[in-house]
Amino acid sequence: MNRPLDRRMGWSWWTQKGSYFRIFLREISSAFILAEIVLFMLLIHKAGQDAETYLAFRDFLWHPLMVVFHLVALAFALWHTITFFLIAPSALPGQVAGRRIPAAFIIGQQFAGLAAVTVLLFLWVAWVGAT
Amino acid sequence: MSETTIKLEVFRYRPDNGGPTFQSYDVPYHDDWVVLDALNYVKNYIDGSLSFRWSCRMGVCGSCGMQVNGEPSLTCAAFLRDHLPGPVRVEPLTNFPVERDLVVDMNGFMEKLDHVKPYLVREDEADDLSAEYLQTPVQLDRYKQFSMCINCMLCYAACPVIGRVDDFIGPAALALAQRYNLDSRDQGKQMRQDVIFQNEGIWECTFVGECSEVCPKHVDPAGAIQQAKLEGAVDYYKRLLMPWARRS
Repeated sequence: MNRPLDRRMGWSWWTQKGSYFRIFLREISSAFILAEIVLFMLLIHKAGQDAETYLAFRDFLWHPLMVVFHLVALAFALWHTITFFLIAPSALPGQVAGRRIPAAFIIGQQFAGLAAVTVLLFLWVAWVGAT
Repeated sequence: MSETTIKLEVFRYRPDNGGPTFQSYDVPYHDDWVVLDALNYVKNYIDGSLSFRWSCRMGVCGSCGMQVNGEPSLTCAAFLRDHLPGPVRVEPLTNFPVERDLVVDMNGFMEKLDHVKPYLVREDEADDLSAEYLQTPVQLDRYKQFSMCINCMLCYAACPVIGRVDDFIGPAALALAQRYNLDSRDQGKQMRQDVIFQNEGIWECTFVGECSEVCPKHVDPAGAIQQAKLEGAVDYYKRLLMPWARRS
């Protein structure tokens, strides 16, 4: 009797190749970004309460283990950003107004935009801190 | 002088003869031999019971796709010299049911392909079968890359989503749907949208991108799917915000 053999990838597909593992890291980065967003929302919530509650939560965020967590989350956020920027050209239409847009141009524009927003944010924070 | 050899480790599966195993063969090594040459040597001179598909030997027919040292490859384009000193492990394409040895069941793929109507659809076809539909080079350039698909199924073997979701239409079929949707001569976009915009269509893709990496014709199915997603999202918001507008 003819019995076709099932050879589908299992749940551990992401351990089978380096490229799969890198994609896995890109996807799992969302969990760290979500955690940072929740921490930020909590920080805003605490800021609306009394000063003691806010300062206690701020100290918690500065705990050495939390600082390590923030650094790991930052690394994941950068990994997600960079890999997303690099694959963006293939996700966009090949032509705009009948002309092909070079991938390097699309990638460059994204990094330039990120740099511009980062600089503006730093300037704004510095300005708020000075006033 | 003794002839240089290289070891092949070939996946064997005979459904009426126990479970899968690997069988080793020592085959002559030649600089200009591809894995398919080595398999044919095994078939012709060592073990005639070995089963595998092949046809053109020149990367056009898409028949000889197999896993070569774990990578989905056309065996007619996978040189032995790139796998020195060996062994070279040859397996059937991942994610497909194996019928025998290196031969996989393509029926599921063919059905998925059929769903997306990978051909020009004309509303006026019945009226004039001899009509010419002219196209400018710019219009051709919009879909040409996606038209290079040879249905070799390497992209399905590389896609982890295919391995987890049986009904996912998959890279090649979705890229072909996008190829015809972008063709200025085609009028079947609406029919295809109903298939590719369902959950098992483009939205199941998580942009792993490995399909584009293994594609021997540089079709970039992952890109085609993401572009279809973008179009689908724009189309959705258009209908939401301008219900009176005609669907694109």
